[in-house]
Amino acid sequence: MMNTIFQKNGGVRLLLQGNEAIARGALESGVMFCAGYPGNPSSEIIETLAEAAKTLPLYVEWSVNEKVAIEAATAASFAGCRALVSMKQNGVNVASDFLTNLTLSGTHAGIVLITCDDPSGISSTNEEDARWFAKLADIPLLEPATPQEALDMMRMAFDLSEQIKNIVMFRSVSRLSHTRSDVVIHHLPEISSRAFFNIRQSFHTFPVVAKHKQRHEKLNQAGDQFEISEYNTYTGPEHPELIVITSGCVYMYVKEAIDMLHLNENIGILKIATTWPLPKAFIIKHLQRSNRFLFVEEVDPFLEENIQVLYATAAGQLGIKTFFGKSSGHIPFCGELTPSIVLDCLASLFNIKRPEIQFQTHALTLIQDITPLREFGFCPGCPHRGSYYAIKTALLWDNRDGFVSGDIGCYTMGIWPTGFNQVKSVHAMGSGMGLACGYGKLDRFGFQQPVITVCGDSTFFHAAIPALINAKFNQADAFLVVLDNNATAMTGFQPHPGTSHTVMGNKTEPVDIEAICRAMNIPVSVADPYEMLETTKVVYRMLQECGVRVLILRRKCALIQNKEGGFPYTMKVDIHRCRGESCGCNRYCNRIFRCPGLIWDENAKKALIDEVICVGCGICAEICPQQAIIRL
Amino acid sequence: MGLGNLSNSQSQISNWVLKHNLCVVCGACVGICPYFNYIDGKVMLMDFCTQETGKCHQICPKLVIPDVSSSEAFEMQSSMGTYKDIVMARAADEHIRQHAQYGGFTTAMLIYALQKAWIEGAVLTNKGDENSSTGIFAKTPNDILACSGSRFNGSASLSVFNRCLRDNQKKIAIVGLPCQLIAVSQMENLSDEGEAIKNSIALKLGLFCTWALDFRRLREYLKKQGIHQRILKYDIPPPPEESFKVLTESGWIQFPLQEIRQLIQYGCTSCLDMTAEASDISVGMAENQAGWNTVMIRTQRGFDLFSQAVQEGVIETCSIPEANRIHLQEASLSKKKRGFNQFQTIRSEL
Ligand SMILES: Cc1cc2nc3c(=O)[nH]c(=O)nc-3n(C[C@H](O)[C@H](O)[C@H](O)COP(=O)(O)OP(=O)(O)OC[C@H]3O[C@@H](n4cnc5c(N)ncnc54)[C@H](O)[C@@H]3O)c2cc1C
Ligand code: SF4
Ligand code: SF4
Repeated sequence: MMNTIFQKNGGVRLLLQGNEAIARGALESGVMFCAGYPGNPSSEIIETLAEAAKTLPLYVEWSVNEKVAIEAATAASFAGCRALVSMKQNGVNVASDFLTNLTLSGTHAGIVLITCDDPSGISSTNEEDARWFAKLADIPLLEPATPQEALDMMRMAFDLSEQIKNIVMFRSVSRLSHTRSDVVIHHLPEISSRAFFNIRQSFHTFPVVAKHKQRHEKLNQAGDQFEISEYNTYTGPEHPELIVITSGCVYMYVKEAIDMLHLNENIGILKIATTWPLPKAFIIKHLQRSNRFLFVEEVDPFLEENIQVLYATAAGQLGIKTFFGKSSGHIPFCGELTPSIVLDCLASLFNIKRPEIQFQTHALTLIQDITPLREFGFCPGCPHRGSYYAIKTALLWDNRDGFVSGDIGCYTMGIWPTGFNQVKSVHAMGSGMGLACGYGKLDRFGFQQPVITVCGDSTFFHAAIPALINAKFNQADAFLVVLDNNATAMTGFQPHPGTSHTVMGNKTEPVDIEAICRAMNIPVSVADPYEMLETTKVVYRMLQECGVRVLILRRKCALIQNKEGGFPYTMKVDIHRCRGESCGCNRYCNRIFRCPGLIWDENAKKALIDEVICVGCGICAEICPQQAIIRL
Repeated sequence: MGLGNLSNSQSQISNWVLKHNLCVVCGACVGICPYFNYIDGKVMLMDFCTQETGKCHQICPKLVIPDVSSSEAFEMQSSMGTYKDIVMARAADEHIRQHAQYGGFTTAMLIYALQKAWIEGAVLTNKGDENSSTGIFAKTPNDILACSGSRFNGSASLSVFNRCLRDNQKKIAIVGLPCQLIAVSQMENLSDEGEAIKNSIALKLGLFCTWALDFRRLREYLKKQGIHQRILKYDIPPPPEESFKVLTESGWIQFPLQEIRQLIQYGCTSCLDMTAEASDISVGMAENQAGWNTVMIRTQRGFDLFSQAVQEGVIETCSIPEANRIHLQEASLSKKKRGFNQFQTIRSEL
């Protein structure tokens, strides 16, 4: 499969994931330099390109964060190499400081910023529509609807960027990135350009107003091209009762819903693939077809608001129109859209009964009884369970209402029972430590609660370091616990500066977190989260100290341990020792500690090891008050 | 038993004892289950337990309701509980006396009982490190000697007793504060396990107690006074001295007792027992007699062991001045009245 994606020849039909189609599209555009920071749903783009780099002449890296990624990629553009930078929606926030300046300075070789948005925040801390950054920074924005379009429009993005000498934004969403469909690929070009920075050119933002003006001119240039783009389409009757204006993969939901409701004679679809700047004349032309319009898009009412502004400029000529969408309450403002939501909306607008989606109800009844209720939880053997257990215990021992300032990674689940509900705040990458800087200065206002900040190893490098330096500089009272599991585990085990290899498979010298702390003269200790009691004592001791201090809780992610040969123990519950529900235990292991490997035998009224789930890390032996959990 | 309509065992402790800061850190509830922990001078609730009929609320001394209706009911005569004899006593061994708090009666008695196989070991309180003292099960004369001296805070040493029970230890001696011995009585009265618990205890030595301090607040206070070293020994000289003394590497340092009283465990203010009435033998200091203990023999078991130790010359005795006995009686009575009134006040706030 992998090598067929990277084949030279075109004209072949392949089954590709959306993100693979994006990667192939970039390769077909002659991309040479690719950078990104992992994050669902974007990660497979860089991973696919890294795989390609084994046989094709391109450079791929996981950068330390999204801002550095876009900066590194931009250097390639300045030096005449086509470049790509990929991230999830939150990543664009991180990159935005550079982005909003870059769009003033302009670029040289084609460069594309890919954002993969995660509607509903299924694996994100937020639900965000990154498209606003295109409007904010005056850059063109492309939104493919299908994997085929994703592949084809990549070429368009690179060409456009090179023509207008500015970065182009390319937006996918989870369902497009992760869907699979057949895609026709094209030839890969021969790459012959040599990296060279022409010293007669320069890239900066001055004079600011002139550059700002230039930026708008570039945008207008893009707008002119969008007017004739083949990816903007209208399908449907000449004068329908309603036109659905849509973009991205929800276009497919709209088509499906119209088919199911047999409204093909009544509804037209205006699909916009070039969502910023709007192809104004093209849109106004189609606004003449009907008096009623429905906007269907994810996440924010981006087209909905911008097109209504456009309509206002031409209202005299167009006459009175009615617009439905998020603002009118016909489409939900929040959460991912589904075919079913679109079906409901159209049915209500046409006052008809929606058909049941047979397979959906059928599937639901089938799985109802057999799927167990599941909450978010750490894997069996996960070191974070041990870490949070130790932190929880130490904070209770400490007895001053201490709490945890959290960050982003698997360990974000510390907000739930699997992490004993320890984490009280989670925002952006590195923010846990930033908040700690503030808590650490509140003593003068009577603040006496200890705060533990947790952050993962990858997050430490990404954005926690500046905050740690700030804490040191401003003498904040801050206790950072780095949950070092040697992986960017949540997003799929991408290498990061603390690991010893790059995404291209090269060996690299790991950056040592302890050494970084020592260089700042910050005391640092290391403990093993599997040794929960010992770790608890260390955390408790460090809670009594003041100033900035760092504790590294080091133990490889359970999934990595599994790959590297597994765990040492087979576990057993000694049913004669187990007290079950009676006084002295009351199901402590499966009621409080809650590793999914620990279950309850309803008949025997005793705890039990689920042999299928337990990996044998052995840490639960420590928590049983009767020493009934035994390591064999 | 029980206060208010609290739904389960644990919540009687968490919603009454812990929430109202009444815990005196006896440790009775620690070590029987994972839900209570003791560390560094404090007992903490770790997790929520749903048990309706658990042990913890049945044994906690702060959930015992005094069986009188007014403080007027207390009388001089009975203010020190029942006892067979009251004398002054001390360890004959001078080495023990040097290490001990006062006369070393406690330490000498334990070592003697161990050597004569009356007991297999003793639940004691160690000296602690930078953290508070904790319970320890002493099984050798050296272990016992290493625990001599008083730490003026609750040490939850009953958690060690609980562990002994779990390990089926027999012939256990317990040295405890009055509240701890009340908790032990509660344990002995448990309907199912009580008898077995009773049979595993060979000796209960009670210490006189007016109050104990909150360890964490004491440490904080000492730190503020510039004392960061380990405390080797504590002493509260008898009135009228009004001082609290600590021994560090650099000698004895003295603090006004008035300031130290601010650090008394709140739970102690509603305690009614000064002379450890639920013991076999109670031990305290001897007024105006440095190097001696006041000793009350309360039970036949206590009497037998005491007589034997005296006979064999391990313990030296002399009679107690009548004035000392009366002072002790007065002090006990006033603790009862004070404690009862305070108990009523706290209870009315629930
Ligand atoms: C908190 C506290 C308050 C006291 N208040 C008074 C008082 O008001 N009036 C009075 O006459 N006597 C009081 N005493 C008792 C007195 O300090 C001596 O412990 C007692 O007289 C025995 O002296 P000894 O020489 O036999 O002790 P030692 O032979 O030195 O033996 C002392 C024993 O006490 C135990 N012990 C030490 N600290 C604690 C503790 N915190 N909890 C439980 N056991 C402990 C040790 O394990 C040791 O076995 C108090 C003791 C404590 C711990
Ligand atoms: S050994 Fe215990 S903690 Fe580890 S996976 Fe098995 S059940 Fe879970
Ligand atoms: S007084 Fe004793 S039994 Fe009661 S809560 Fe405190 S330590 Fe536990």
